Amino acid sequence: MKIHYSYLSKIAFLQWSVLFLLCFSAVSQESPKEEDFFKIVKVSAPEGVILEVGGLTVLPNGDLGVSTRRGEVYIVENPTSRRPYFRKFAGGLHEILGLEYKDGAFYCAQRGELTKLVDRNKDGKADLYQTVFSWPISGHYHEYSFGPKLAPDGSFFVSGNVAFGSEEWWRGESRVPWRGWMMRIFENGQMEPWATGLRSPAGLGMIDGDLFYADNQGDWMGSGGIVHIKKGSFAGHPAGLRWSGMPNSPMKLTTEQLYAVVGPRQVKNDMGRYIKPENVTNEKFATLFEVKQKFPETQVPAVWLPHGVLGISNSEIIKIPEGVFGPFEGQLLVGDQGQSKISRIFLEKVNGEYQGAAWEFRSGFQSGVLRMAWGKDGSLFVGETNRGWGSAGEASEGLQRLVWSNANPFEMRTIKAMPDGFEIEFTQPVDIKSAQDISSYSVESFLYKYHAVYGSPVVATKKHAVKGVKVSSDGMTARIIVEDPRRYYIHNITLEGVRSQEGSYSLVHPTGYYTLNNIPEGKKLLMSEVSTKNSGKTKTTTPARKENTKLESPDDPNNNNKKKVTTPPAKAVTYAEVKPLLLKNTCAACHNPDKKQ
Amino acid sequence: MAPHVRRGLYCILLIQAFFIQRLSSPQAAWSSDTAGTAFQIRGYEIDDNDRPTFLYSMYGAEIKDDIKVMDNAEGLRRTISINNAKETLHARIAVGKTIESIGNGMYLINDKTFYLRVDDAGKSQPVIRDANGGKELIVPVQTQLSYSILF
Repeated sequence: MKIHYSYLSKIAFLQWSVLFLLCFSAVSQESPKEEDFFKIVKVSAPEGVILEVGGLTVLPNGDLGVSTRRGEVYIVENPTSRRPYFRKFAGGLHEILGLEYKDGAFYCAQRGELTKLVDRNKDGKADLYQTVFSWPISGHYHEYSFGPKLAPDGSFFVSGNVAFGSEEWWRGESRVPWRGWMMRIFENGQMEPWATGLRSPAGLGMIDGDLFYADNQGDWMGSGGIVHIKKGSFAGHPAGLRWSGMPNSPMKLTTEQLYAVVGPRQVKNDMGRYIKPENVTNEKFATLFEVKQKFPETQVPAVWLPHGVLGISNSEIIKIPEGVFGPFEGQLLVGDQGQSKISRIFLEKVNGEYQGAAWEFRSGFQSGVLRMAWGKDGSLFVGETNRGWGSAGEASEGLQRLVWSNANPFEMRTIKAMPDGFEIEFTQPVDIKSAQDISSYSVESFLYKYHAVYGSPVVATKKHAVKGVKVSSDGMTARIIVEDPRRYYIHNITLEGVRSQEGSYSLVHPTGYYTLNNIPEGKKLLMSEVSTKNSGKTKTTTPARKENTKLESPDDPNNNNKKKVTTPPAKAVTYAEVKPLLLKNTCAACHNPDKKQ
Repeated sequence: MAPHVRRGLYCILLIQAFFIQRLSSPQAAWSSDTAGTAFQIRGYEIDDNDRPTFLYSMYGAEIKDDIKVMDNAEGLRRTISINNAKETLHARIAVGKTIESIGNGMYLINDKTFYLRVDDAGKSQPVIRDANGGKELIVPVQTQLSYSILF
């Protein structure tokens, strides 16, 4: 007992010293936060102008074009000045959720058509509202149309939301052709059906000539993410497959073929009424990549944006131009309406397909982030609305600007997939000692179900040991050997213990989410060339996903093709625990415990 | 213009089948079937007072359809302009139990319910014809037609 006592007191002493040191370091070296590097400033608007922004585009002369959900188009002169001048260019349009400027004219998607707005007499106001192409709509409230996004060849991409069922009010359905589709529209009024499987495609992005779109959680959509949507792609939601047989459809996959693999769960109760499908724990479940193995036209997200972490309703995808936002030039930003924030994405191509990593970037916008556009001064215009759905930012509308402070934040600049793990590149040199300590890193993978249910729990969670790390001599990269990375899974890569060389700061955002659609071939690291030092100091749980670390699943890492069986979480998070977060960040209409929507 | 207003105007323009049709002869029956017209909405132009002129195409021809309140508020004037017509299109500008020509391009519709005045029919002559137990006023349109409803 005595021995034990002295041993314990020694440990206690150590703990106190560590605590003391931690407190001391916390006081003297508090790590900078995202707001220290990226400042949100307002764009002053005249009184009475309601800017529920649906579209943003910067004109060649630096003026800002703004379209609103309420059907107006404004041109904002000197938009980065203290007193911008707002000129109403057009009005009376139907819910304009996108805006582009091409050859002297604006193009916008109204609910039912792509419209060209031209000022022919040059009085500063549109005098021609020209229908480029009109598409069918049923009149259901959810049939939002988004875009256009301009392609390099001058054609336009427009996406369309699905409607919902009447009795099956939870089920996304395509009541008329091309709902749930991406359409490619040409200046001459021709329309080419491009791809389907879309559910709520609020964000489009034209990245180096490749079309991406962002969807969010819903039926058949376990979580949001960005998808490289090629001609003939199937993004996962079955509704649009109804029109696969149309003469100009690029799709071969039919609803029946898909439902034969993953059933729609259309079950009636003894009153003859459909039962809303709910998540079943302890079931054999399908994932989207398994559907891809059957139907190769299935396009899994290039990068998943884990629901509730990197947004709940993802929106516009834009590329950071050269010379802008410091270390992040060339990367992508993705907005989020519900969480009023912006995430950052690094994309790479492995085996010819896009994949990459996503991080939190900047939160705290006044309303839901729907649109973004680059100002001539390198600042980012952010157009916002919450459409009455609610958003973390409590205002119902907003036009703000994100300005870089020119200071270099300590962040993971990139995460790249390696044959045996990941290589992390930093924005500034790391403290070598902290970076060579494998306990500074933790890796955990997970995925979502593919089913007719609204959303999905995080499933098939697995912790991966970090077996070694090789830090470059300049301290700019750390390559980690990860035990059995899993193809197609999202890998939470958290670097709680890594510190910057200068200031010994923590990373501004210590967690990145890497979607490992392909594992590259190549040379693996030898154990002789890596550090395996393990101080055991850093907690391995990751704060951002703490609730999920309790999910364990007995899956076989060597065979991802097998259906996974999950065991229920050891301790589920209670509704009372998440309620404040849900109410703050999501719309209780869908995310509600009593299921009434 | 708010969508419902726009939709309302289309209703006025297009009520009782299309206002413009292709007829094999001025006596050929007016069809209520819109199939084969290749009708497409093309949008609208806005004047300095935010008043719209609607644009659409039918049978490959581009049509401008403009309805304005007349300056002294004595009525409504409608002006149709047709471009690129491959054949003569016809406009049915009035339907009633009775249609009576009273000279100078003036017509009395439905026993003095309203006056209709053909302001400009180019070289075309309006035709009053029997249809469905009543009368129709049909005008072949070359490139322009203008008429007023007076009240």
